[in-house]
Amino acid sequence: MATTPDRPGCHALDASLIERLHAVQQRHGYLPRAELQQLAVAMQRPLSDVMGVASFYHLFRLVPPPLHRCVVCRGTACFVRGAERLEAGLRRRGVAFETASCVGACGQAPVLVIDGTVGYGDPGALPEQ
Amino acid sequence: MTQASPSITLQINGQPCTVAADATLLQAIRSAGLQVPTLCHLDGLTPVGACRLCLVDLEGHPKLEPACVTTAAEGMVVHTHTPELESYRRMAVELFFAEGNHVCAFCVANGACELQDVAVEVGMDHSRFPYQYPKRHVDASHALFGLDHHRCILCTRCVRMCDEIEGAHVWDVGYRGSACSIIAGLDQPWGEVEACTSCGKCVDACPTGALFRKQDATAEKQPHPERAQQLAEARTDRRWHNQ
Repeated sequence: MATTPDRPGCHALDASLIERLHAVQQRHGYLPRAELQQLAVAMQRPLSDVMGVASFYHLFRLVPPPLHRCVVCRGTACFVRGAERLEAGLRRRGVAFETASCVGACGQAPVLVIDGTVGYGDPGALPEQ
Repeated sequence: MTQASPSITLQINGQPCTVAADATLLQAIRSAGLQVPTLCHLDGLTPVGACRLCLVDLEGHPKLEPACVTTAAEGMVVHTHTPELESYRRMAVELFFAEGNHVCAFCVANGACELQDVAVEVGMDHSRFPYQYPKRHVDASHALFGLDHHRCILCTRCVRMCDEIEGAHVWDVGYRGSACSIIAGLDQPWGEVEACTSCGKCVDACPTGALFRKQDATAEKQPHPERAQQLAEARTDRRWHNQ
């Protein structure tokens, strides 16, 4: 949070910080602490400022990603077709998953994205809640 | 506010009031001897309009505006205590209480808490909103001070105090939504943040018992909200508190 309004080029710095965070995440799959520290030094910004931005956006990961990436869609269509039961099922099996607001494949609801491939659960096969 | 700047006249609660052209509405309201409740505002720090308690009604303006970040303008007709504003203010305070875990009975700031004072001022005796009882933690890693996140209302006074007055920028706001919290360094335990000078200004600025001195027990906290203004004046006007 930049609190000094007349800090020179504060918006330009913000923009490039986000881009550089993306580059770090691209390289490591997440934002390692040491990299955040280096970035803060390189950009002459306080640590908490960099962490504030990194932790604000859901797209940035602060912990290493699991081996496989599983995303449950929480869009309206998926909700109606049992996304909550899908989540409960995964949770019961101990599967780590993320959630998305909508992945744009509402016709296949409830949508599950595994390692970037869109799949879908059969609502009939989902356990009753 | 410099005396030389041109002045403007506006009307607050039917009372004419003349202030410097660069004054904020909050400064105008206070100079007229009137009061609106505030929590995130602290004289000497940059206003952010975060707590929404200083919302005022401007005649002919479609929405309510926070007085602390609105510049006064010539001919403005301002109302500070309409029934609508009073109801919103009360609601905002109820939400503050419902959002955190504010238990006055064993809080260090009991009796010297701005949140408590504001609740009394707006007449809040209960919250209509269900208490969230969020699971938060206490950071007691610093040698001298503690941070109880349960009592934090995210006013960011500590963040601005540390950044603008002390210049250490130990604090910032991390995460978002209900997980939003004040973070030290890379969201580290406070005691591990080397940038912290242990000056205690954040504790002085905190309106609740979130930041406290470890030696203080229940109802023993003595906040010093005036220090931000004193230090800012010393720096900009070379006018010191002891003079």
